[in-house]
Amino acid sequence: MDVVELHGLTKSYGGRPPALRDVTMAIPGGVVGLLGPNGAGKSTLIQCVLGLLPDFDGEASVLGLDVRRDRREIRRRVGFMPESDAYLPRMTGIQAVRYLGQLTGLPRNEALRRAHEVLYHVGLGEAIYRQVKEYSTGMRQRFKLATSLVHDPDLVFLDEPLSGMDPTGREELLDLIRDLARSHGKHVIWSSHILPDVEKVADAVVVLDKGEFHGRFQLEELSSDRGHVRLEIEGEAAGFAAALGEADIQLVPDAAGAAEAESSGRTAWIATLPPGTGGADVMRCAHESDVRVRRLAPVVENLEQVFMRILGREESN
Amino acid sequence: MAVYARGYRPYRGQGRGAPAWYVIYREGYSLAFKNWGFRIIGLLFVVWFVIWAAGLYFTFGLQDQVDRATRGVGTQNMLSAASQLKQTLSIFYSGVAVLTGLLAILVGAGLISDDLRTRALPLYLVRPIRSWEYVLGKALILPRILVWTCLLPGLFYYLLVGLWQPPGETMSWLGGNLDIVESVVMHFLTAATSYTGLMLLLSARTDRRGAVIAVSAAIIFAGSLLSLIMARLEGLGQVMKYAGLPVNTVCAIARDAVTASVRTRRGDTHADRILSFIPEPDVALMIGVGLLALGLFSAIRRASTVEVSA
Repeated sequence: MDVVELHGLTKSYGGRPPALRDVTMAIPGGVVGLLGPNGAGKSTLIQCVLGLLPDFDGEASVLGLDVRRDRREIRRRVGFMPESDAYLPRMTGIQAVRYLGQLTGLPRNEALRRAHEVLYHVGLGEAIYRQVKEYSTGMRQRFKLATSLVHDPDLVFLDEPLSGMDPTGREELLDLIRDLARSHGKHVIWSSHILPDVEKVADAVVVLDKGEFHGRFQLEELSSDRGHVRLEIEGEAAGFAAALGEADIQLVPDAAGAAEAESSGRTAWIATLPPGTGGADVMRCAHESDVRVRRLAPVVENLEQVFMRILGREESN
Repeated sequence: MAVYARGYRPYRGQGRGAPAWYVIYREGYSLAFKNWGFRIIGLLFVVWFVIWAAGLYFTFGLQDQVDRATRGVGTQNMLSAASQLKQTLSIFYSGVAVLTGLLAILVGAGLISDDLRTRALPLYLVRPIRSWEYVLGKALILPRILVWTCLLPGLFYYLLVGLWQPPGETMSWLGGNLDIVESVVMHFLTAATSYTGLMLLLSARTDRRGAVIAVSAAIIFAGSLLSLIMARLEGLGQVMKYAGLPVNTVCAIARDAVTASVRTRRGDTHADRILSFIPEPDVALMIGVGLLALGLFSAIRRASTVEVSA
């Protein structure tokens, strides 16, 4: 089930270039990373679908509800943790979360009970009676997460939730987010440009850049064989490359392994094998070209490499 | 292990809470009392109120008892009691006007600008509330405070003097002086609409509380001073009275010249020269309502998007 669907979403700020250009995509349930470099349009996209930026073109729906028509119902079922350092002046942690719970429609006493629960859950149990403005950066991140959970939403938007947190805090918050999704069935859309964090928790990622949609894929695809192999040979490279070309096997230089290969007198490539071909075809070409294959291994990319490849390929196009 | 540390718990409640505007209003009103400046001014107000309550007692209550004890009959009459009360209200509200101006600035400056400064607006707007509900909740805070400073004291003094009338004349005295109640209510309405409108208008424009305080203080107090100076000029005052209506209305409130004192002190030549510079109560109220409409419009517009603070 897709929790967010966008059709031709376009948003401009004044006379500046559009922050979002004709974005058409669907975001699946589970934990989804909304990835992109700074200025990609991630926060703008979240604010549009939450109705915080009402003037945009195109269609958008959240949990099957129209963003323009069902804004209040969406906000009842959705939580939002903003990127910016947000707090309510002159309030303690417990007061602020209780207050925001009431604003979501909870009766005062139930809001107070929920405020206690979520503040303890995010690890602020010892600081609930302190003024929020006295919280450290990491505590404020936890506080914002608590405000987004107080009304028990079905879907939570997290905008850069780990920024400013120390390593221990990051791991704790990652565990919390993982637990929300796995144990309590919450859908989480997580905007970030810190890819290793997303990789630890997300089921899928959506890539945005310069306001445009650049692709969506499941993280489990990263570890599967995508038809790319890392290849190192000794011998006459040109003839071997020509033989592979005849077999419809594409080659690009392996930038990561080039230096090490050259020092050993080898040539390194990344080869893309078309469907129906395999390592045996590479070995046959090597035998015919009289070169020795020193390395032939599938390429396993991490999220950062895939991310860079997607953006790099699109840019070259 | 703490009971709440066992993990996330789903919310099973079905109850519906209070309307969002009421929650915002109630929370904002209770937060106002956390401000030390507010507490100090509130204390000054209480002292001022008690002083004039005591003044009234010694003027009417005690004097009447002395007269009854020494002469066997009370000396008050309806005219003198009403006129003395109006005089007292006039002086009382002159002092209150300064305190009320300070309260309005202290409470009103942060109404919306605090939420802009702390970037709390997205925390509100992502809830199922409309922007008008947010603004309505904010807009009711100041009038609630002005009920204590502008409305209830005047009504209390009026009832007090009524109770000190000779036996059997209380109701007739109260009924015969309803114009005092009308003046007190008009004064409250004008102050509530003008101050709320002005503070909403300024507070929605910037996230800098200090700037809002400076500008509103300049409008309320420096404007009042300007009004006094200009009142000594002939001719120009009549024109300026309407040319600078919004400022003059606030000045009028700050000088307690809008209702009670205008109505009670007209006929005094010196007072008339000063008060001629200030709009009539009905006009002042209309201006107050206009200022409130402008403030509400500006605040609702600001609260309908996070575009600037995003």
